Amino acid sequence: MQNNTQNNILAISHITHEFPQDERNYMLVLNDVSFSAQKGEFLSLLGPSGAGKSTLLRVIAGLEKPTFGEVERNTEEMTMVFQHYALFPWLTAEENVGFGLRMKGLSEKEWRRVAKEKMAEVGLGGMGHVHPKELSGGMRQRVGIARALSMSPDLLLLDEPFSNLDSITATFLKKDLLEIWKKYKMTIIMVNHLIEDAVELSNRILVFSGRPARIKKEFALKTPRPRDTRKKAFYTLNDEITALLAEEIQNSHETLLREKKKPV
Amino acid sequence: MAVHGHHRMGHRHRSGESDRTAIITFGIALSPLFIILVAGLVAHADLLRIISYLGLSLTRLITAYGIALFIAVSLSLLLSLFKTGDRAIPFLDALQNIPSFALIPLFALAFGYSSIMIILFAVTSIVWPILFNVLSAMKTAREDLSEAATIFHCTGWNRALHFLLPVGVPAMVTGSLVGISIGWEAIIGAEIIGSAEGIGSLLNTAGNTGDSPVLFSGIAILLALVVLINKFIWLPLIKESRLYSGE
Repeated sequence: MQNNTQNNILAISHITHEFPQDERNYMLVLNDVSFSAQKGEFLSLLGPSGAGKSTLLRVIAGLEKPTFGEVERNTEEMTMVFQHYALFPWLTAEENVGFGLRMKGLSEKEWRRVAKEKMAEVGLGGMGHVHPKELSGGMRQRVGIARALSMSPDLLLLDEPFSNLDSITATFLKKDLLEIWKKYKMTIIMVNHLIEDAVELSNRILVFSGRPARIKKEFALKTPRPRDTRKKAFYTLNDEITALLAEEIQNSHETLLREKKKPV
Repeated sequence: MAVHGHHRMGHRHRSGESDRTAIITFGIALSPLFIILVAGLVAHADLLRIISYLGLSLTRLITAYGIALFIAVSLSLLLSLFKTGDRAIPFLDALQNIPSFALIPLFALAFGYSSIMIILFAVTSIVWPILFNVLSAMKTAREDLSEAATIFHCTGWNRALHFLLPVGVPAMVTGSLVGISIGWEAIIGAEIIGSAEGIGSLLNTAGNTGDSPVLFSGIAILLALVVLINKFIWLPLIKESRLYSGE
């Protein structure tokens, strides 16, 4: 797997992370997680919700410092798309998209030009003057994607980008995302809890256990995309991962029950 | 609960609500003017003197507010930019609890009963509601927005200017609204105590000498001014600032 280290854009090793619960207790959320991502990969991180996948993404992004372990990045520009869009409400769509370039010191003329271009690319041409609150959820996420694209990232982190959208909106956005990935060939790491999305889009899937999250199994997918989600192979893999996750969800229920039964 | 009930009622009477509010506000704003005219004409109160004294007090208030706003916002930015800033908060909380009027003798000792003393005293009252409102808004900004700012290279001075400042705008408006009303109290109180020229001492003298035309028209003009400032400055600003909170 890791024979081609020159091609690695990211390598994390032995990431362990705990959150303080109260003065004395800590909650372990990530337990010795190691993996690497190669240039141009579409990697999905799957697992029961609340397991710690989003925390892992934040550790990768450098937003959270892990309690233990190392993150090695070989990126020119890393950027992120957020679950709740995280658009600045006081800026217009175009100003949101151009925000990163503006912070990097580009002239207004230049960042507005790139922002307009990226807005058009995500299908929102001519809507640059609108504020986020006037846009639908799907449109807001498109602005979020355009904002990330404006930075020409070589590593794009997606934190459950479709989980707030209705299924039709999500379907179209997935299709567009695949187009974007094909065009730019950046590395994508996507946290998700929808198995179908991961099987449809990724070329590698890491299935995580419930809290504390550790890697339970890894799947490599060789079939070219776009994938026919009505084929037998799709369902077989789907079912296998579903069974794995069902086991984890059952486990975490039992853990919770045990914890709650502890004598007070 | 009370707030909730009020909110529901507001929704039920939504149709024509703003019209009615406008008429009522206009009425409230106009009635003191009416009283002034009547009181002034009938009792020959010196309106020019009232207005010039009120202007003096208003100038002091605006100066004090400007200084307080600057101090509150820059302090909030500093305390939010640096993590160690959290340690200063209990100290500020203790400072805030010093009764402002207890500081008057101190300021008077330093500056005499002058305009500077009145302004500085007002600053120490106005600064707190703005500081705590803005600081808490910056500290409790949506976490993913703060993360997005970091991811998109918004750091250092840029972070203050392009993230913390806009995040704090709605709190600046609400804090200022409270600050200004406390500020009026402080200015008028200090003018009375220090017998400095201004609307406070004017009203005080009028009360003591039984000059009711000056007393009543003075209060009426002051009231009209406060209502007009609210109507034409703060209400529009509250509406504007909603953009910054995304509501």
